[in-house]
Amino acid sequence: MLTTLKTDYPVDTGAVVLTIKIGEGQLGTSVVRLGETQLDIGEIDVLEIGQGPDLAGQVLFIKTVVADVNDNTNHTSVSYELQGGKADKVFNLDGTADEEGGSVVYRASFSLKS
Amino acid sequence: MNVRRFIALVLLCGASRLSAQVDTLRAFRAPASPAFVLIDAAPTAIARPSTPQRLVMSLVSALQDEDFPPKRYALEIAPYWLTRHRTLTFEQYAAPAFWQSIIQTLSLSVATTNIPKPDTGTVLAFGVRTAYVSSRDLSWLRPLRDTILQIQRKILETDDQAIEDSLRAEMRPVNLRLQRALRTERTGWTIEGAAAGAMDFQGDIASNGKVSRVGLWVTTGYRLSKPNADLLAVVRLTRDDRVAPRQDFLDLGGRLVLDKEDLTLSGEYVYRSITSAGSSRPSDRLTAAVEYRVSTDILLTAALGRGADERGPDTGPLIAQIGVDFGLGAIPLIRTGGGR
Repeated sequence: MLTTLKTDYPVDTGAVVLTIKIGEGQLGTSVVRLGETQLDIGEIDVLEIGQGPDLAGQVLFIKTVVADVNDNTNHTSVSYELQGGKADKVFNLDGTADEEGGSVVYRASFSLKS
Repeated sequence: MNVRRFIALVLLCGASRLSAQVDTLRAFRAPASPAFVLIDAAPTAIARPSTPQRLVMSLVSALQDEDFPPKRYALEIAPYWLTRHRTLTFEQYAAPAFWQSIIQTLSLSVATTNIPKPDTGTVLAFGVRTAYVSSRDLSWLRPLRDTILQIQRKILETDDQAIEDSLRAEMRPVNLRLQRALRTERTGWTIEGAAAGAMDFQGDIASNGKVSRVGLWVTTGYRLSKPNADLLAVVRLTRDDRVAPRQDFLDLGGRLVLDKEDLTLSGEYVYRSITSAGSSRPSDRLTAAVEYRVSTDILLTAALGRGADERGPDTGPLIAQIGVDFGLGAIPLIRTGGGR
């Protein structure tokens, strides 16, 4: 199981869009930063990060916290979907709350490359 | 007894919450683990594997037991939750569509125990349970959900690990409160169904296996938030083939509870029929209770009803109780019973 991710995402000429999906019936919130600039906080659904050429060389940082509000499982999962680059990609992370009603914090950073 | 002495007695003693005695339906509700209930098993350890790997390990461990077939084995699994559901949102889970509700509440239970002496052998029981909740409205969860989201925002805004840990600890009771709310505070219709069957293997010989007990439970309820009201109806059918002639039990019941500020009114009707060799023995019980909360710790209660032994307007024993609950214990003040 992985709760941190550091990877590259090749951008293209179009706009890059981010969607974050919280699975397992749990409740989660995310903050999205591009460099030092906070782009959004809350539920992230089809968030335009910027145009590919403008993003090249920057780092997209996402922090997500997921609360275990499902008493059937302590599993949590987050899917980061990036679209508009050279290829659309989905990055899946998983974590298990260490106690009933606990929470899991995820951190992902994407180096946006041309 | 004059009024003063009665009041003094009321204030000196304590009394139970009488409404609890108007809740005999609890025993007939669809059980969480029907296999255990059907064979009256009270396992000290229940295997509840949460992954397919742990399920296999549990089964292998049971089969490697020195006693074969394993005695006093208890397993409960929720098949849907053995695997990952990355696309299952909170809304889909908390306010599920029909099939989603059925599969996410589906649980299977398996239990074994010894056949009572002087016979030897093993009883093996299988059970299945599921539920359907009709309400799609999650607005009643909004305050809890907003509290969680507010704390999550604070966690996201800090880079200090100690503050983050502290906020996560602060959020946990709210998460648990939301879990409990989803279990117990839903409004609208709910339907729970459970079934179980047990086989006796005399002498632990497979070819001796025969069905000894079968059970079926259906519980349906409707909850209103304004006014605060709960309606519950239960059906339980059980068959016992261990005795000759075979016995069939039918339990039917209904319960209505109305809450208005400090006043609670409840009524319950239970019908039971035992059929054996073509003849039935019916019995029923009708009870009503009133509770009034005088203060945080003091509850006045009264119950009235007709008992289960006899039927008919002139033959049923009267059940009548009044009391006061100081939150100290359960001692009825006045009890009359066993006929008028």
